Amino acid sequence: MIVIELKDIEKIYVSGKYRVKALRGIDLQISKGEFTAVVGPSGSGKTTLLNIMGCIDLPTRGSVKLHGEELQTKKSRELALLRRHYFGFIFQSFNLIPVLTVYENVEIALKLRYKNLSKKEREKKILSILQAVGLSDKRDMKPLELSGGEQQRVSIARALVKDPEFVLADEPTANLDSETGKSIVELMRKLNAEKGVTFVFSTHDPLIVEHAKRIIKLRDGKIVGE
Amino acid sequence: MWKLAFKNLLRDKRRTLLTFGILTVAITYYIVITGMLGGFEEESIRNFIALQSSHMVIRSEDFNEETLKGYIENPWNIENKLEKYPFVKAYTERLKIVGFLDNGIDQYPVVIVGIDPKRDTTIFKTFEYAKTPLNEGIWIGASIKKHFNVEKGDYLFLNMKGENGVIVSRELEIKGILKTPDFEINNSHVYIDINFLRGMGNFKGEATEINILTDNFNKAEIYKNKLISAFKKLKIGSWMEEGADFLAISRTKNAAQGVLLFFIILIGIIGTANTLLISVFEKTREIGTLKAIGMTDGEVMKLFLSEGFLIGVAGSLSGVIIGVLINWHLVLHGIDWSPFMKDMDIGYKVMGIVKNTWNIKSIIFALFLGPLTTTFASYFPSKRAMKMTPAECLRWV
Repeated sequence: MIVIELKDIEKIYVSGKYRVKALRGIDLQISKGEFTAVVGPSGSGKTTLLNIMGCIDLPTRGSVKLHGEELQTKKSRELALLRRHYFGFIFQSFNLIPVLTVYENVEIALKLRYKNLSKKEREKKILSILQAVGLSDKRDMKPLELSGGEQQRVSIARALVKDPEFVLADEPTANLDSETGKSIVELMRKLNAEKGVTFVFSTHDPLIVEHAKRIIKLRDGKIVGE
Repeated sequence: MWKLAFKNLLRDKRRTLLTFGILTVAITYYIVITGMLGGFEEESIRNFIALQSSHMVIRSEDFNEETLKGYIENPWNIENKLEKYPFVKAYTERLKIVGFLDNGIDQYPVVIVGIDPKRDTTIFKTFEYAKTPLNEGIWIGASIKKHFNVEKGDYLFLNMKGENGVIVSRELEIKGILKTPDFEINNSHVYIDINFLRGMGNFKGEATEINILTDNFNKAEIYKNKLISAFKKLKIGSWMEEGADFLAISRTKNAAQGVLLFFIILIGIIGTANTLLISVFEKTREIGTLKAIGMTDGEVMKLFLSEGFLIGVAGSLSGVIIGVLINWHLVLHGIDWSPFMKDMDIGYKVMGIVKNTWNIKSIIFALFLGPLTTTFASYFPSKRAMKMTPAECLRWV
């Protein structure tokens, strides 16, 4: 079942006099439950592609459909609500809120998704996800007190706590050592298998690529192979 | 949202403390200055009533304020009628004539005020400043003393036109020097026994005014209206009317307060906008993350408005607490302004220690002023954060 559909996507960044074509006519379909890697060298457009898939950015040209619904015409607020309900994001540099504890970082995403959840229900859900990523004992620590791998686990917990349909991970292991990177990928695979969450992640880490069920190769803003 | 806003404020404690400090100082300043101006106004009114106007003044219908002409022919008739009114606590008559003082070389224009020494003290405080009884002498204002370089016990010539238009002159002993909070008195008034003055100018029994003390000066307008019907062909004025010019200074003062308020608001706006603008720049990537996880632009704006609101509440509360404490001290003990004022006329009728007053309205207003100002100020940085797309925020370095 196709859930995300990209047709003839072009993305141009304008910076003063300069125009950079980040994506040049991408056609792509993502089905439910996929565990897909987008690979390619730096500057090939991996992050831009993920951003467009996750409603973080809109293409300059082309069509993006989520569950058959066109996103180009959506307003900023509607896109935010789609991100809130459907997507979880994992970033290369974790992007945790430094003033909040591990628990609070996860809680903020949960609160946005489920406004009417009681404090008790919220706590139950957060503790369960922290246990799944192996951080039960670090709930009151601040991100800067954690190792890179632990921070990425918080980021995964934050992405998954709101029961997303998709998790988009932008180079999730780039800032981690290979052992930690491997454990993160294993965790993502486990969640993909157990919860049926669709994972799309960008990477140029060969260790991770071999775990992917589908590999999309990107170069100079174009898909050059699959 | 509130938790995050609060923690964001604590993130850069020094910057937050600076904005908070500016706001605290501004609010404190506002409360203390308002209390001080209130004190000046109250004291001025008190002194104006105690030295010049009393609660009410009755004058002849044809009284001319510039020439001081237009006499009440039979003041005792009016005084007898006043006895019937229970709110009238005391009354006295005064005869005011334009004249001049001279020492044989130099002349100085003055207002000669004839007073009944016994009854005058029941209404006016002039004697408290003169300290020595008038007898057949004069009390003169402190500036007149300075002008002629005279002391108590010296003599000056008092000159004026008598009832029949003939200039009369009499050498009189200076019995007292009046250094009062009222600069008009200090600059131009000479006090003399009313009967002595009548004799000197061949006046029969006339007075230019009858001054009345009532049981409540705040009701002067109401009492005035009660007397108007009974005293036709006479002009009755309350102290508010008598002091209309001087009370106009209060209105000017209010305008000055408005300017003060404007600057306080400006300080608050600039300080908060600056703090939050830097905060928005620093947190751009975090804003991107929050937007990516589903925060709407409106919620991002609310987050920054909450930061502004919180800093405003904190600044206002501390400003009000410190302001109230300082004002409390000044209400009890006041400030001695003599070293600052010396002989300077600042438009208020005050001298020496002036105590602050409580201005509850301004305290309540100050409580709301901080949060309102800072929330308004945070709108602009919030708008910037709101306008950026999540991708733009996440790309921000």
